[in-house]
Amino acid sequence: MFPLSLNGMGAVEWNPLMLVAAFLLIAVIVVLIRMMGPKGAVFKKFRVQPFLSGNKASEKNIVHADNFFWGFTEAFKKYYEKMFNIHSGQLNDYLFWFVFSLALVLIALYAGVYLWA
Amino acid sequence: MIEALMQNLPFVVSALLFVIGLYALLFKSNLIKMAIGLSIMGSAVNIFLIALGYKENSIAPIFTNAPINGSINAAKMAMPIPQALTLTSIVISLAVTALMLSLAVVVYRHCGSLNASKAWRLKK
Amino acid sequence: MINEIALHSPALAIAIPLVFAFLLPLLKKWKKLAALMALIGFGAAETMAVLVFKSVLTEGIKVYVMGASSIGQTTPPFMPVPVRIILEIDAFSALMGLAGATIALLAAIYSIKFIKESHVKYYSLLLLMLAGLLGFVFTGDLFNLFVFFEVLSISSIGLIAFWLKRSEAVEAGFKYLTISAVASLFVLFAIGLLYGEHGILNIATISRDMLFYGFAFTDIIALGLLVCAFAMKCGTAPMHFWVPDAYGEAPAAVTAVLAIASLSSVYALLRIAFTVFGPLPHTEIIAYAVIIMGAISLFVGATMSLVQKDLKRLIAYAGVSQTGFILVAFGVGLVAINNVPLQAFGLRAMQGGLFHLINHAFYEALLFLVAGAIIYRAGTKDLNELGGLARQMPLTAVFFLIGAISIAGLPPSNGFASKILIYESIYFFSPLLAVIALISSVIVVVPMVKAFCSAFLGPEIKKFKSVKEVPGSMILAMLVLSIIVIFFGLFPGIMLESIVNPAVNALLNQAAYVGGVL
Repeated sequence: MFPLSLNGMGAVEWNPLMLVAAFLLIAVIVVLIRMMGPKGAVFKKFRVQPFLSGNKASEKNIVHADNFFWGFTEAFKKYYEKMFNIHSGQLNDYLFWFVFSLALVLIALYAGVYLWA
Repeated sequence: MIEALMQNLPFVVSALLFVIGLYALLFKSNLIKMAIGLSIMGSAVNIFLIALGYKENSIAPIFTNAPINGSINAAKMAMPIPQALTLTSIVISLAVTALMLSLAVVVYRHCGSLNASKAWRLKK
Repeated sequence: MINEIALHSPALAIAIPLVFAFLLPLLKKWKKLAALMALIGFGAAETMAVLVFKSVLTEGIKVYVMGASSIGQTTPPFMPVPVRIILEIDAFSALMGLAGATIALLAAIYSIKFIKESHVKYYSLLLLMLAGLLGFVFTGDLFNLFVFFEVLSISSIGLIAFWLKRSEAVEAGFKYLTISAVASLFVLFAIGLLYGEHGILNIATISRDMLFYGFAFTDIIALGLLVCAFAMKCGTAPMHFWVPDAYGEAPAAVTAVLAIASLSSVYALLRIAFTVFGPLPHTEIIAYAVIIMGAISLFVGATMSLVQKDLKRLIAYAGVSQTGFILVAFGVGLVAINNVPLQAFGLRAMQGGLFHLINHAFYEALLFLVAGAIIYRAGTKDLNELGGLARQMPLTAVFFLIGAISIAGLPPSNGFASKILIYESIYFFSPLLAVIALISSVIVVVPMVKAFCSAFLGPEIKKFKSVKEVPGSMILAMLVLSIIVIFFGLFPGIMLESIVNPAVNALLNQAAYVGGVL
């Protein structure tokens, strides 16, 4: 029993077994459809050749990890520049952030307990 | 004001030492200086703990010296628990300092410099 | 005999790894025997953790007093306060201990082949780390908490800087050492403050004191110090910078144990917030602080993970984001538990958080072990160089896929089951928080896709043509972890009822924890 909803929208239950069963069913259908193709296409040539934009991918012709999701990192360039500045790798900065957050938490505690109450 | 300061002198000293140690950790990039700062901070906490257990005119909390239960002297023993804490904490801070210095030696062998900004390569 | 062992299992769980850790150096000449001894030690510790867990689940809180004439004698005669060394184990700490012992055992099995030199040193440090971890979660005493915290971090430094020839490893060790030493000094300072106020170090007694007499000014400061120090040690933004350094450079099997060690800091944070200080209105501020830190780490961890090119750093940043999930969930729980209309959601959030904590421990360990397998065979963890490894290492690729699906929280996995509990409950607290959590969870899919594609898929690369599948012991460790992950994913209902709910109830039931000792 793994309930999914809280606000009385009916007792929806999360059942992963059903999802796995559905997944297997779809997988079987996919294999069946592929079996309708040329003989041996499923089990013998199962390890298909990798392609990149229609060209055969080779060692010289692949997308490196740095270039993955280039659009995303380009769009968030300013954010990432700031983040790289903060992640400077300097131990002093690590400790500075600790002291900084400690100060914030202590001030918040003091204000919350003694000034507002 | 000054009287209150004098009464709480151990606490003031420990706070000062703590801040000095923290300063070294935050603003010095030399690895040995950081180790020194850390051990100063450790001493500050030790002084704080010892000062917690101090009573005026008290005797050392050793079992064979213990005054008989119920006599006036019973209240005169210093608190033993902070001293036990401090002993443990001294041992631990010794281990930390030794480990830190030996790692600094290895860093120096690798990079030829104790300056953190030159030695550190991991970032981002 | 068996009853005796079960009776003393809390002490034995800490003592066995400790004794084995110091016995191993004697066997330095017989390397295979030493490795065997170490495995026996891990197995025995695991058995003890299972025994503790079983007895806690059936009998409730287990209290073990060291040096008393009987185990349950918490207060000495003629003295109203507990001054002895007391282990107090409720369902939450037993669960953490069990998870820690399991992951350490699997890491030890994995290391048989993975570590090629100085087995003896490695295994003694790993055993010491396990002893520190078990002591840290089992103790009922603030000062022992500090001592085991130090044992845990000092032994893990030895393991992070295990490959002294790599300058990065030494650097990561130095950074982790400084961070953890500063954190534990602040913890000790806070413990001193609490001692000065209450005159006792026992968690239960301090907790009762605060229930009766309320907070003092120094208690508030101690709360802030403890929460911040433990938050730094569990890798919460903006204090997460050491996480990728340490996780990235430690040997892979160590990283898996290091991840659960960080999660035990989450345990300590919750123990302080829920049990020592209790869900009183004043701790609400701490709850908000924890929520904010958690939300920042959710987003920062996910986005920073996306741009990494080092496989282990990538996983480490994704882990930071998952720690954010746990903290957000527990923060919401801490706020909502006092707030009667929100109480049901608070409980649900805490269930989700605790379930996620356990899931996170296991899939993070699995992912790091897979990264270690890649390093072991391909010799690099740079994603730009890797490629096409699924041809040579099909099993490893499947294990990585299981871990990646879990950490990304895709539907049939355990990560999804715990995250859905968190989403639906924090939505009622604040929709914005739920949106941040959802977006970060989506972003975490991206680095996992990137890592899988660039390490396992793509054309064959000449350099890695001779790469083989990893040896059997490493496969075994990864297989067991993935079975655990899959089981958690397929039967979340059973896990929720049998493991998570007792732990959440134990965490919320402050009176029972106090009553265990007094």
